[in-house]
Amino acid sequence: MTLQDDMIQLVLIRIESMPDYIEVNLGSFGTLNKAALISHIKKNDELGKQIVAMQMEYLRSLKSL
Amino acid sequence: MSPKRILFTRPEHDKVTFYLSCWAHELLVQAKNKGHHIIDVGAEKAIKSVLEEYLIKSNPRLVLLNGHGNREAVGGHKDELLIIKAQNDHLLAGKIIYALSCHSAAELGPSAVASGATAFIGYNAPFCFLTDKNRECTPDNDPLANIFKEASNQIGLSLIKGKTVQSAYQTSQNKFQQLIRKHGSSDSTPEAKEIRFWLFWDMKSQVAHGEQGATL
Repeated sequence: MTLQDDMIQLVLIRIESMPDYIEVNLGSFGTLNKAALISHIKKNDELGKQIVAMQMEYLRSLKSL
Repeated sequence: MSPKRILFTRPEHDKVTFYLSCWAHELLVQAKNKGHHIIDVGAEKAIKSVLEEYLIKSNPRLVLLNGHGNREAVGGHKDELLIIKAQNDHLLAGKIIYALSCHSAAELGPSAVASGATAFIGYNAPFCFLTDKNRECTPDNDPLANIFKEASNQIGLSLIKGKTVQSAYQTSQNKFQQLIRKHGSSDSTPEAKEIRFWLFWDMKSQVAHGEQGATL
């Protein structure tokens, strides 16, 4: 497994625990539920890559928040 | 502070724009209470020709754009593009703009400032917010969405009070941080983890171009 694969797995685990009643409104990407978010990340498309990158930046910044 | 003209675009043709329109209503009431002159380009009036006419004839000092967007434009009713990079962004000259709109600070914002806009505050990535799918019909009563409204509306509320662009930006950034910390306690709700992450996303995406010391 590459580092990128590890990061994707980490983000997928985090999103799996998202409550089902939550929807994420992401502008032109539309309104996404948990399944849709997971799909974007697994496909590693533009949005999926953006979510993984931001999740990693978020995790790295937790100490300073 | 003498009364100023403040223009709002508030399309509400889909879920996202309906929420943003409701959020803008709080700012509209605040601006009215401060005695400012309001130009409310709402719902189906939020089209390019109408907006252009108001920008030219009424010359508002503050423009609060709400709607879908991309790197080069901000949309209105049914996503008709209202302000487009290097096409009509010169109409924003001399104005302070807050675009609650995805990506628009990436290229439109700098272009508008280069064309004479005083300042442009917006987002260089998608602006995102959480909603409770059981509360979609009543955005004002959606506690998840209201968290994001609180952080975003700091920009408009600060500017309406006469604060500088830099102060408005910093107030919103501080509110994002405060809300992230608020939802970070160990006894927080099942959605807290998602709230923290998506607030972080918006906080990192928010930027302010132009004159940081400008005021309404």
